[in-house]
Amino acid sequence: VLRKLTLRIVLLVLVVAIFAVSSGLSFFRHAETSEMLAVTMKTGAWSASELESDLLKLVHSLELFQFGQSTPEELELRYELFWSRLNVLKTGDETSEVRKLDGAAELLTNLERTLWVNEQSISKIVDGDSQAALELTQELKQLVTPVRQLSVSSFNGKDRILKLQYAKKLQYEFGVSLIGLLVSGLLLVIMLLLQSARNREQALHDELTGLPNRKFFKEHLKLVEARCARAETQMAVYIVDLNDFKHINDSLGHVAGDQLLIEISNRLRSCVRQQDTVARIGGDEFAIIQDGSEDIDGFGKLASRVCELISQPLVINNNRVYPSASIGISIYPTDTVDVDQLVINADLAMYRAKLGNGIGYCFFEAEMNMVIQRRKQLSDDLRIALENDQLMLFYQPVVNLDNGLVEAVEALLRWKNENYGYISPSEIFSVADHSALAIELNRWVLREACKQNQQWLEQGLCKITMNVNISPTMYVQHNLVDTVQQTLKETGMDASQLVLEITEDTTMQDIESSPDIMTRLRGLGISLALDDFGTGYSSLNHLRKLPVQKLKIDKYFIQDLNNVPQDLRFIRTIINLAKTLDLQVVAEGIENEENLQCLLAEDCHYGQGFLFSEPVAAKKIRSLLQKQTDGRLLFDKATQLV
Amino acid sequence: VLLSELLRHLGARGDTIVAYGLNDYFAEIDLQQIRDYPVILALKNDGKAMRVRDKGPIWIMFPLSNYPELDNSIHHASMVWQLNRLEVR
Repeated sequence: VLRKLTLRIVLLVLVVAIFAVSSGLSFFRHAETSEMLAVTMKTGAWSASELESDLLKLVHSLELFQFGQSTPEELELRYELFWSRLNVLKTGDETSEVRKLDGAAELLTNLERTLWVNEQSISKIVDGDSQAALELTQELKQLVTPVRQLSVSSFNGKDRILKLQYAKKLQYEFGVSLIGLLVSGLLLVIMLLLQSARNREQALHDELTGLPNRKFFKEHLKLVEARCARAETQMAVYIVDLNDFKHINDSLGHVAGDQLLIEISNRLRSCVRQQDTVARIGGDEFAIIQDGSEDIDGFGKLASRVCELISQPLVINNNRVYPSASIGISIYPTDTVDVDQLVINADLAMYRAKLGNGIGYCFFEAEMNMVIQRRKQLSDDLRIALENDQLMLFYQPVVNLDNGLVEAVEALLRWKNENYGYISPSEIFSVADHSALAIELNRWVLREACKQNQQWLEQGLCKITMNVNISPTMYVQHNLVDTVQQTLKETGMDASQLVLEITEDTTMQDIESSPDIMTRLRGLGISLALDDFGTGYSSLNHLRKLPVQKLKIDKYFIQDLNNVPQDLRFIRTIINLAKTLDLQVVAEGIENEENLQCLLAEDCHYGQGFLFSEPVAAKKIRSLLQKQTDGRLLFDKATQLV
Repeated sequence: VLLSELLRHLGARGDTIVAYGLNDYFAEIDLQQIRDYPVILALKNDGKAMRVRDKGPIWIMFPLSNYPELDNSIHHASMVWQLNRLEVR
């Protein structure tokens, strides 16, 4: 990052330097051009003064010749040279400035005429005609003054000076415009720097709340860590996660959700001291870095203050909202000296707080790592597994204890996690319920089970019922009935073949509407089984209201049968209760022959367990059902063969 | 007449020549220039010998139209007319 920054600064300086140098160069070049212009103007002046000089030399030569002090050749040469000078002035670009001067054209014409007229005079003079020499001298002398005037005015004539002044003025204006260019360039660079500063600000801050974002948080955490390491002080990282934010977002809308986030961020800001940092590191997740508190009590105080302040109700769009948050805290250097781990720890503690018992915050403890780490890991992996279709369904046969026929199977999730191996279905559902995957997972299970059932039918196997577990979260979702209906429709499965297994506790979640939900499910033509019966808190009154057809006795009661001395009272009571209520009874977890004998003695209807079969892949169920058609059963009541 | 040929013929040695005109005008010319470009001594214009008044009898000419890079004030000043004398230095 530093190297990149340095590179950018060097580049910027380079650009500015190139700009400055080229501006400077162009200024000097322009100045030079102006000077060159002045030089060109001098060429005209030079020719004019040469004209004067040549005229004077010619006159001088004439006078000398009259006194015999010069040769005819010399005189002729002077005459010719004057001619050639006149020719130079008459034509050409360099001398055009001179020709433009007042009276110059007439003077030049006059000079030329004089020379033409006196072409013959020169040869006469050479031959000794002193009268002609005198006349020519007189004539030429008259021209000396105007030629002098031309020469002088070609140097300092009004026009020429004005032109030079204009050139100077042009140069001055060019200088001014160059300064303008430089200033605007400078402004551009300043604006660029300001904009990039603003971009950086935006890149490091959350747009909605104006709080520092995750990136800023991470960078800043490293700085604080370095400071604490030097000063040997403590710091704490808090992860603050809003509870049920999704619900608020869904029920009141995103605008209300945003308002809540802004309010929460303001509250968090007001909680902390100047040196502490509040950041928004996720949708409904905030983080606080508390710098150098003396003791753990100090950290706890802030946590409880935050909890208290966040739980103040507020009104959004005329709806009273009761926000609450779960806070996880991890302390540096007590918990870890690694800042990344510090954040993970705080996150884990937050997770614990969320699962926990109503206390809004939780400090990180080392043993949390294992349990919660597993939860988190599974949660992340489950999402991926669902997306990539890495889950499978296994099926455990449910046997009619009267005739030994497999009349149903229970669909059970099977998932092998690469870190933790096989995960039990109950844990998978639990993880799913806590990571907003429940609905997706339940839908998947339901659909897979129905599809499998249809496949068996297509393969010509006998009709059995398919038992599918429904997780608590799925149950309270209002669209469970719709989902089931839609799945039946999509897979073409006969409703009478589907049994939804709902645990006693699940039905307790929403006591008021449970009978209604179950009645509506029944309305689809499917059956309902009360799962894990006997372990929940439901009352007989509650049970009475539920339109279930089956009771599944929890495996703990069956395992009780293995105790010595055997206690049959509970099993007997439950079976009798079921019979009285006209419900079918399924015993789960039958592991050995003795269990089976007891249940047969008590006249239990159905059994399920390792004694008959563990949960197996669909292929195995197929061969099992085929054998059954051929008359080979898992269990025969008459012969007691297994 | 090629100036370089004339100089070779005369066996002239040096770096520069100074060309003087009849009116004592003078200009320094780098000998390298004369070697590099066909600089001539012009004696006639349109087949007629040039008079002094036509900048004759000898005029050093640089081939300005064939070599545009020569067309600048330095070479203009080097094109001495009414050439009187050459000094090799």
